[in-house]
Amino acid sequence: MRAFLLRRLALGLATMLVVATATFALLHAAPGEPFAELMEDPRFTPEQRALRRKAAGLDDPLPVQYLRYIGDVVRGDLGTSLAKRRPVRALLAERLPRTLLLMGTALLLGFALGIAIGAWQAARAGSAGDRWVGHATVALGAVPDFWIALALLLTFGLKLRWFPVGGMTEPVTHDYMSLAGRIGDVAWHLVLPATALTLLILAFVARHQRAALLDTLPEDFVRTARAKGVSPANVVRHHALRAALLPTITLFGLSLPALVGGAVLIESTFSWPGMGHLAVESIAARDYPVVLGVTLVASAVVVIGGILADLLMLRADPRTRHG
Amino acid sequence: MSTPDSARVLLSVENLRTWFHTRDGVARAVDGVSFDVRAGETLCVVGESGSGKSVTALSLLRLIDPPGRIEPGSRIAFEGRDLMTATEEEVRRLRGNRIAMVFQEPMSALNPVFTVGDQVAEVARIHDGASRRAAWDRAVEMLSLVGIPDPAARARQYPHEMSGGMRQRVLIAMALVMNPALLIADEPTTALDVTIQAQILELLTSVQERFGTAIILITHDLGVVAEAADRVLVMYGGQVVERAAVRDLFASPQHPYTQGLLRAMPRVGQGRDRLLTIPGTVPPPTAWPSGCRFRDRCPLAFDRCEREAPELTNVVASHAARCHVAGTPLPAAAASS
Ligand SMILES: Nc1ncnc2c1ncn2[C@@H]1O[C@H](COP(=O)(O)OP(=O)(O)O)[C@@H](O)[C@H]1O
Ligand code: SF4
Ligand SMILES: [Mg+2]
Repeated sequence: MRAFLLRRLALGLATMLVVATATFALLHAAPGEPFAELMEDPRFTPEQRALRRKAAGLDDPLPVQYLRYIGDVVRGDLGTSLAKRRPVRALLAERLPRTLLLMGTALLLGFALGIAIGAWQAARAGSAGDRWVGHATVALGAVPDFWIALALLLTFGLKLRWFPVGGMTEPVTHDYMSLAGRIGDVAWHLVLPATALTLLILAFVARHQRAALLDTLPEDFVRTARAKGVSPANVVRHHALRAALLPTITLFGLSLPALVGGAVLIESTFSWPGMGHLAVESIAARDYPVVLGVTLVASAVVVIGGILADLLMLRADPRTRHG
Repeated sequence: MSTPDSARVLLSVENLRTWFHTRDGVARAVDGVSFDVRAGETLCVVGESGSGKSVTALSLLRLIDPPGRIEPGSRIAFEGRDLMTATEEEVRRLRGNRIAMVFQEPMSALNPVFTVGDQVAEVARIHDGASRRAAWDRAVEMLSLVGIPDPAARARQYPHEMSGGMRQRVLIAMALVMNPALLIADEPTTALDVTIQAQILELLTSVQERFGTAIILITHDLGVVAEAADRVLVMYGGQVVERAAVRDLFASPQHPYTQGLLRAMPRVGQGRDRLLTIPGTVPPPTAWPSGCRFRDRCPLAFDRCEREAPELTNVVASHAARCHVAGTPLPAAAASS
C-alpha cells in the first residue's frame, strides 16, 4: 500500500515535470511576448520596456530561464505575475478553491446523476424510456461544450433572468450580506456554470454506465442472484450495479484532464473567477509565470484525482487488494 | 438413495416448451419435455451439450429472458402449485427457498465484490427476514455444513481468494440455507478436477440423506449418473428420448442414442469428454430434422424415421423411449469412432 502510494506519487511528480517543461517550451515558441501592451502606451519609452524585460529575466537564454524556473518551483517559489504584479502563489491560492468548488459540485452531481440515469436505462434497455434518454445523452455529448454553456447563459441568464449571467458574487452588495447571505449568493451564482459542467459530465457518465451495466447483467453471478430470490430491483442495484461501478471509477480517473479543460471553458463563459479564467487571462497577456503556475496546479489536481481514483478502486474491488 | 415408487411427486413438468424467438428463427431449445421429480430422489438429466438441459432447468425457476419464452401449454407444478400461472413475485419467493439452484461455473457464479459470507447470508435475509447478525451466523453454519474448514474466517473471504472446489461448496451452501425441497444442480462438477468432482458429488449425496432434498442433477457424464441417480432422463434435441430407473437404463438401454452414450462411456477415472465419441453433433435448435431428431446420427435410421416423429412411449412399465424401434440393439461397430 505504501509502496503503491509512493510509486504513484513519483509518477505524478514526473508527469508534472513533463507538463511544466512542455508548457514552458510552448509558451516561448508561441508568437507574442509579455509587456506587449506597453509598446502602444505612449507613457513608456522603449528603454523602460527593455528594463522591465531585463528585470523579469526575459532576455536570458532560454535554457537559463528554464533551469531557473524549475529551480524556483522546486524551492516552492512560483514567481511573480508580470501583469498583475502579485505573487503567483497568492493568485493561485485565491483562485483554486473557487475552481474546486465548481468542479467538485459538477463532478459529484454529474457522476451521481449519470450513474443513476445509466443504471435506470440499462434496467429497461430497449424500452421507449431508455431510447429517449439515450437520444438526449447522445445529443448532449454531440453538441460542442461551449454551446451548452451559451444556451444556458442565454436562456436562463439573459432571457428569463432567473440566474446571474456571470461572476461568483454580486459585485456591490455581496460584502454587506450576512454569512448565510454570502453563501447563498455564491450558490446562486454557481447554479448556471455548475449545471453546464454537470450536464457535460452526466452525458458521458450515463452512456458509459448504461454500457457497463449492460455488460454486467448477463454475468453468471447476476443469474445466481436471481436464482436465489433477490428482487429484480436489488439484482440491478445491489448485485449488478455494484460490480459495474468499477469501470466507472476508472473512467473518473481517466476523464480528469478533459474535465479540467471543460472547467476552463465553463469558467470563461460564465466569468467564474477561478483558475480557468485566470489561465485564459494570463495566456492572453503572455504572463508566463502565471500560465506555468496554473498548468502546474492543474496537473497536480489531475495527479491527485488519479491517485484518489486508484484508492477508491482498491476499496471497491477486492481483487485489486492483494496482487 | 432409493425411493419407493409410491413417493410423493414434488415437481411435475408436462409438455414444457421453451423457445427462443431469435433473428435467425425460432430455436426450439426445449420442445415438449415431461417428467416428475419425487420427494427425496435424485433425477439425473443427461445428454450432450446443446440438448436443452440447462434451458429446462432455468425454465423450472422461470429464469428465461427474452427472446426466450416458455410457450403457452407448458405446465410446471411444484408442491401442487402451478408455476406457470404464479405471479413473478410468487416465483421469486420460491427461488433459493423451496427450489434452489447450483450452476456449473463456480468461478463466475459468485459476485466478485462481496464476501462469500455476505452472499450466503443474503439468502437468509431475503427469505427469512433474518437480521444481519443472524444471517451471518447462519452463513458460517452453512459453510461449515458443506465441509469448508475454518468457516468463520472463510466467510470473510472474497470469491477470488478461493479454489474452484471451495467456491462450488459455497454455491451449494447458498442453495441449502433455506433447506429447499428441490435442489437443481446444473453440471456442478464439470468445471472441477476429478478428485474434487468426487467430493462434490459425495457432498450432494450426504446432503440428500440428511435433509431429504430432492435433486435434479444435470450432467453429461454417465459416470456421475451411475453414481448418483435414482432415475434418469436422457435428452436429445430438446426432448426426452429415454426415461428410466438407473438400473434399467444401464441394464437395457432402449434408445439408440442412449446405447451410443453407454458404449462411449469412459471407465472411472478417464476424461469426461468421451461422450463426444458418438459420430456427428447435435443439430442447431432452429433446424431440427423432420421426423426423428436423431436420425442423421442414428445407425438404425430407416425411411419411417424421416416421415414420422416417434413419441415417447413406455417400453415396459416406467421405462420409456422415443424411437420407432426402441430396444433394437445397435450393430456392433456403430458407436465407436
Ligand atoms: N439465450 C438464448 N438464445 C438463443 N438460444 C439459446 C439461448 N439459450 C440457450 N439457447 C439454445 O438452446 C439450446 C439448448 O441449450 P442448453 O439448454 O444450454 O443445452 P445444454 O445445457 O444441454 O448443453 C442450445 O442450442 C442453445 O443454443
Ligand atoms: S426413430 Fe429411427 S432415427 Fe430415431 S432413434 Fe429410432 S431408429 Fe433412430
Ligand atoms: Mg448446460
